[in-house]
Amino acid sequence: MLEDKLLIFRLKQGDEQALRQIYEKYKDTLLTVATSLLRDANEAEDVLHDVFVSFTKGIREFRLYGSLKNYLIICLVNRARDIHRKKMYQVVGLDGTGPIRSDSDGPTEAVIGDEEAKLLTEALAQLPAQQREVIILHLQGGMKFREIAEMQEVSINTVQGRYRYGLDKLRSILDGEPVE
Amino acid sequence: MKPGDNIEESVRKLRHTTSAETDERILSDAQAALRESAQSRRPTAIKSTIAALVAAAVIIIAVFIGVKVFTAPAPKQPQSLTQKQAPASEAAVEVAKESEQDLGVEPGAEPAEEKFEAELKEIKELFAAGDIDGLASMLFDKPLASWLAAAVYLAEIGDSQALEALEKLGSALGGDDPNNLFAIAAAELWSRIEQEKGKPVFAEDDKLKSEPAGLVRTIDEKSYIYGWLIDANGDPVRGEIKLGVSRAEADADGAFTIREPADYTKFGLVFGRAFDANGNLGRFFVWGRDNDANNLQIVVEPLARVSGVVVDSNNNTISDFRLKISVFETEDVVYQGSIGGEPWKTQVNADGSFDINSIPTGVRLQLAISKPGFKTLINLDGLVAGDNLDLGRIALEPMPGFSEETQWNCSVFGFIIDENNEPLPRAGISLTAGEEIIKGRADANGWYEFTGLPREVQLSIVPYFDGYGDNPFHYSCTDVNVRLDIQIFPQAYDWYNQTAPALVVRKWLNCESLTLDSFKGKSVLLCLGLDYQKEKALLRNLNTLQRDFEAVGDLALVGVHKYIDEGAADEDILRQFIDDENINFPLAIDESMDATEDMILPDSKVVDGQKISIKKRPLTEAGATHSIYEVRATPSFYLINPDGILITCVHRAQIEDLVADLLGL
Repeated sequence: MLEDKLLIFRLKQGDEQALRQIYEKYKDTLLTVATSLLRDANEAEDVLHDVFVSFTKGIREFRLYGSLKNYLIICLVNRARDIHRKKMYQVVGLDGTGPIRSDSDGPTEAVIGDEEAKLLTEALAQLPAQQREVIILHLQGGMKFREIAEMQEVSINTVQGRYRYGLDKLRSILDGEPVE
Repeated sequence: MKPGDNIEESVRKLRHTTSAETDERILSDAQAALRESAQSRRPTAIKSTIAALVAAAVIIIAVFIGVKVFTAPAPKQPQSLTQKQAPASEAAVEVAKESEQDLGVEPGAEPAEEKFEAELKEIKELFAAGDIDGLASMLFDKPLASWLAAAVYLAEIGDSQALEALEKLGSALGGDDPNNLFAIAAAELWSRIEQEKGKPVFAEDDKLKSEPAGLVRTIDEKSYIYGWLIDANGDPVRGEIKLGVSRAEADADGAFTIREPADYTKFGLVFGRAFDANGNLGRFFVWGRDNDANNLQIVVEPLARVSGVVVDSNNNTISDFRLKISVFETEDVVYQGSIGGEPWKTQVNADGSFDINSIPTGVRLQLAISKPGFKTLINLDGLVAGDNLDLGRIALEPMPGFSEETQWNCSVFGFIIDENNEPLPRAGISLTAGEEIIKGRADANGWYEFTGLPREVQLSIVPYFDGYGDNPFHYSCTDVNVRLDIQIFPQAYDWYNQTAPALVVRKWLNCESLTLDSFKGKSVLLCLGLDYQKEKALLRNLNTLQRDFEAVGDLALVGVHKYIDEGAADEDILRQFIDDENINFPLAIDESMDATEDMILPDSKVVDGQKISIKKRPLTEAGATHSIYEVRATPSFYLINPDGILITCVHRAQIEDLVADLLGL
């Protein structure tokens, strides 16, 4: 987006207001993605912190190709993966600060309550990391399968497969069916 | 709904948000990093922070105005009414301080401005997340100043969700006190809605709504329509009303409040329908822009039924047809399509008979029966409530050029190429055969293919590419397999690398009369095809762009709105919009297309073997300048260099690259 390019342009000039605007614009998406990937609210906030600080630090040399949101998400995913790898075998509990639900759709739409959001977060946590990553990046990060494929360095078909299997699995977890 | 039911939607809606402390921590660390990086090389001064400041000021002014309105009934502080001339930021700080003192809150150690802003931000986030309970608990132990901020903010949003939130917060926090802040704010909002009713309504813009309150800030302006749902005896009916995209429920007293639709047809009308809660009674109705918004009485009546048998031109029954009911008003279609699914039930049987149940009446209806190449329209004027109408045998009539013998076995394929005979990857192409519309897209090599087309029938083909616009032409297949390469040209291609044609406009709206010569020495981005009714978001974004252009210095933005008749109400609405949104790039209304009729070159279509070259030079109702510049897509952007030479037509999506180039990014 042009707006992002202009924000980066200002940021390069040292404009702190631009920094604040970029942060405000993307923090919720990034935190949601991070929380879903890491299943730990504190770690997610740390990752968000690291991504932003290092993004700002390197702003002089930064050049934007494509979307800023995707760039930030990719940085975030890489960092989240590092953390995830380190504690591969640890059991991780869900953090106390539960998810809140956004985007109220008016009277006709059913609302996802807190309880359901919690169930959903728990179910997401049970998915294999790669499937979870695709689902989160596509649905919450708004990334296209092609972009995710580039990032995960696999084919689009693989990404779509991961997405479909992930959703099926999520559905059966939520419907209480046994998962093989 | 269980989360498993629509899992994608559920995952999409899952949101986590940061705490204020986290925001502070991250931002201050990032700012430190920014300063550190800035120290290594001094930045060049740039004044584009003005844009951000203006945006911030808009919010502050909004808050300020809100405070003024709300505190007016309290006799304590009439001085706030006279502060209109004070600079916005100062005024806001003062209001923040003032409200703290007036409400008996100790001035805290934190500076009032920062505290006010931080809390307002939290309030906005909670509201944006739809978390009204969270908002209530956040406010529970906060000083009254925060309550005030919340009430003002919600009242400024002014939509039904904010109204609900206000009322909920009023009962959660204010208890039984009918004069608590939120109750007062809700009452104020209601009265404002009343006042707003007579004024023009601007479309709600979802895209902008989701935008963070940084670059763009909009305040919804909406009106509501109040009415009653009753039956033929005048008794109230519980039920549901849909009007355009708005929806409302009528309560046990039959009363409803529905948001005024944003998009009227060009006749100033919108189609709506109402049903009782049991689906036994219903009615179609037409809402006009000028109707009385205080008293919309809808009488629901028994539903009607239509049946018949469809035959072909040889009187044999057929069953592969489609049925569609459209709504008419005067001689023109008001509405075609469905609102949240068809309300009626349609059944088609193998013997060619059909049956449409539960049709509401109340407007002129037309039934369309069709299959590829065939269409019969039946006027249902005679249909009255509770009717059971048997149409008997209906012959499906061929459309011009079609017959029962028409063979649907042709294929057309080829490349879509540009002015240099280079393929245009992923160019859009649509094809219409009778009523059948096929929308397609060329592949990455610019190759397209259509199969199953009717033979020897006039087809309408429309290739499209960004910066090239729509280029419709007619074609008829005479062979089973047809190779057809389609060459299209950029908009205003004949003017490329020449002095850009002069702007022929009726009037400039927000500046002295200008010509392109006024911009000599600057690059000009000329935006045509503007239509405030359809492109409010674009106009706002252009306004932001303009501020950044100013900062860059040698780039100017000029807009020409499509033609509006002298003295038409639309012009006043547009002017109001320009004032309200503070649109400050030069904007003109185009001159009538009659002014330039002679200057428009005729369309050209050259067939050379298997290649067809299309040059469309549309004389468009959008106006004279639009016609000269061959606007075939809206909006269209043209880049004119500092010497006044037309360089290129750029698509909206390409502007960012263009500007990035100019900015040296």
